Amino acid sequence: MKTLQLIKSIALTLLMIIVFGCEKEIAPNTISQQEDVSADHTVNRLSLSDFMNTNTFKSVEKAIIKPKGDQLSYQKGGSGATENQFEFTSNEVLSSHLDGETSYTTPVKKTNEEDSDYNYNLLMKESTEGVTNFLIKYSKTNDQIIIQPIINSDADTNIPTINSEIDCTTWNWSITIPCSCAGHTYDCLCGTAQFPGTASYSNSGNVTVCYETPAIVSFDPSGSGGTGGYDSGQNNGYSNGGSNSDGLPIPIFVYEGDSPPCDNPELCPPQYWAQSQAWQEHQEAVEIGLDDFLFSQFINTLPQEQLDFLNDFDNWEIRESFKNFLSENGYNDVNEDFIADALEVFTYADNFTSDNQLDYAQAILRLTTHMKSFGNIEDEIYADYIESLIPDLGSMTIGEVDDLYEEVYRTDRNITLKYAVGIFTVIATDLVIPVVEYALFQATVGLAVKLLQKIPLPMLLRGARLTKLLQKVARMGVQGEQIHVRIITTSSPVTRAEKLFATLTKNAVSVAPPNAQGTIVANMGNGNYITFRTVSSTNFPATINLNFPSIFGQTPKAIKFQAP
Amino acid sequence: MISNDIFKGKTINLFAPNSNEYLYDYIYLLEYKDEDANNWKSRLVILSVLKYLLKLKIIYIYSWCDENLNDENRSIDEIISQINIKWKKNTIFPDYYNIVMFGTQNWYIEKLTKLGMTNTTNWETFVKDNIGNLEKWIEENRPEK
Repeated sequence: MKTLQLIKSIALTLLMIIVFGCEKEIAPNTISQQEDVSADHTVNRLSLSDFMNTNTFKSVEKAIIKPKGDQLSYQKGGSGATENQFEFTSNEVLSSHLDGETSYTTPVKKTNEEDSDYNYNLLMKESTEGVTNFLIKYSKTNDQIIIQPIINSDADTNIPTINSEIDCTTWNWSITIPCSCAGHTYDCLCGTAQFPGTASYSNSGNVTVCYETPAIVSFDPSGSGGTGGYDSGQNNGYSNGGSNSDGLPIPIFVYEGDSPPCDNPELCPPQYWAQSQAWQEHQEAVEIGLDDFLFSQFINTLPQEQLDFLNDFDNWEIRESFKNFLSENGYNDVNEDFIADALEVFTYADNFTSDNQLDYAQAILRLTTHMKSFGNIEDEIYADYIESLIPDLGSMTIGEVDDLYEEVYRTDRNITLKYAVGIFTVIATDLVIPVVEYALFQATVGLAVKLLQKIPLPMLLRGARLTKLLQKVARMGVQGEQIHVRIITTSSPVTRAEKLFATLTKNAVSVAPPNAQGTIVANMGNGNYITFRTVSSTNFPATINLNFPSIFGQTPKAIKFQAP
Repeated sequence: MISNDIFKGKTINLFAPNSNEYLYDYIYLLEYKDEDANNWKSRLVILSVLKYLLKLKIIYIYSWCDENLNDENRSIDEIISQINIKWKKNTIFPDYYNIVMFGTQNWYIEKLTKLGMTNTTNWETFVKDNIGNLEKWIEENRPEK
């Protein structure tokens, strides 16, 4: 808990150092010199030479910058190398003032870098705590912003260093970005993004504010209103929330330099714009970043195989679920063991492959044992059911066994996810229904018979489970000519229908002998009946009627089976 | 009188092809219950509807279930009378499986199939979209003999 508070404190302090806020909405992108935008927040311009004469610049000039004419020279690691040498590209500097804190920003470029995919800004911020310097690196496609603090790492020589190797245990910034694809989110933790969509969890690297096209592009540089994303047009794309107490984003300014001569102001490129969303995300990140940080600390203790599993895009839901679980329930041995156990089973299952039924039996047993560990009777019923099929695996094909295995693995994952998010309402019927559907629609007849025959009696006792099972069965297939008719198209329809009938009526009060037409009626008690018949005036080879007035109303459901 | 009522609303499903096979289908579609087997007025309506459907040549007797009866020379009235005999008082589900089984006439199925009807087409929607006045359509399309 103390660690948590300490980390929170560090994160908030860092944010305070970095973020400069504004109280009210600021002006559109192009403003005249010395224009006050609001009483509390001013955005001005000054010439480069005036900037270099400011106390802010002078106070840190020796510490971080070795000017050579108009060039800024950041040298890395005291080696005298010039790989991080930058130069000014504009004669103007944008200054922003709020509550005694002044920021200056101006475009720079890497001296030896041609045709870069990135633009750079130097950002200097002066507050009562001194001057802090950053290099803002942003991709020209606006899908990534990297904030690199510039620190003086060599106190003896005063040689400035762009801190490309930040210790992430200190710079624990992170953000979560919604992905446009399918409601996923991506975490950007401290570290350098390898490529969009895959977060990096290295212990060092740049602070990547965000990536993943197009999540970050949410402002309108033209100032005509938001063009999409998060920032609506109501703030002219330059939402500004001061200290963010009103929830609006605090902008970071990126200044693109002098405006070229332009006859039509509306068509002129922006001279500066506010990367509002970046800060908004960043601001939020401080709230949730701790979870990300703690989670990254936790998963770094896991074996590489499990780490790889969690970093796999396909397992993103599991990752998020586990993170939320630990966040809500706490990072302690019990909860971490819950995650570790699940991961052990999942990574094993994920990598499992065999052409031997016995291996599958062991793998399935491992999954069912994991399910039973939750101590929920419904899971146990399902697990027992699956285990009852194990003796039959030898008579199944490898393909069939693999299908069954995949089904059980999928179920175990789902159950675990539900437990992780605190949903304990799983009932055995929900788990068994996919197996029934598989038996009716996909499995070979032989396997279908086994799957249906062995559905455990507790599921078929008259009551809630059976009711739910019947409701599910009554929705299988497609609707027929009337709403009470369902049509199931499958191979060997008579056999499958017969076995389904036998399964559903396992706990019947009585089953009458077939009548003259071969129709079999099972009395399910309380005026309910299930009927199986092959006689039909409508050419369906098999029909099951579910007559449960309390569930379906007076008209019995008719499940008609036909061959493809 | 009957035709005016049953061509409207949910009772249009009485005319759904390949759909209503047992007596209970008609009883429940007309919103009667098992107990109406003991109510002569209810029985009269149900049997009248069946008579009407037989007369329109929409349905026929597919089977007498537990009896092997020959309907070849039976008039519609005699068929209705036979149903009335087999539909005993106090009949409840699942006794219906032993009374009578109905089938849909081929001409009806064929004409509807030509219009696009399948066994997964919603009948009510189909009538609305493809036929309109079903009573008139039946009159125009049903075989004369």
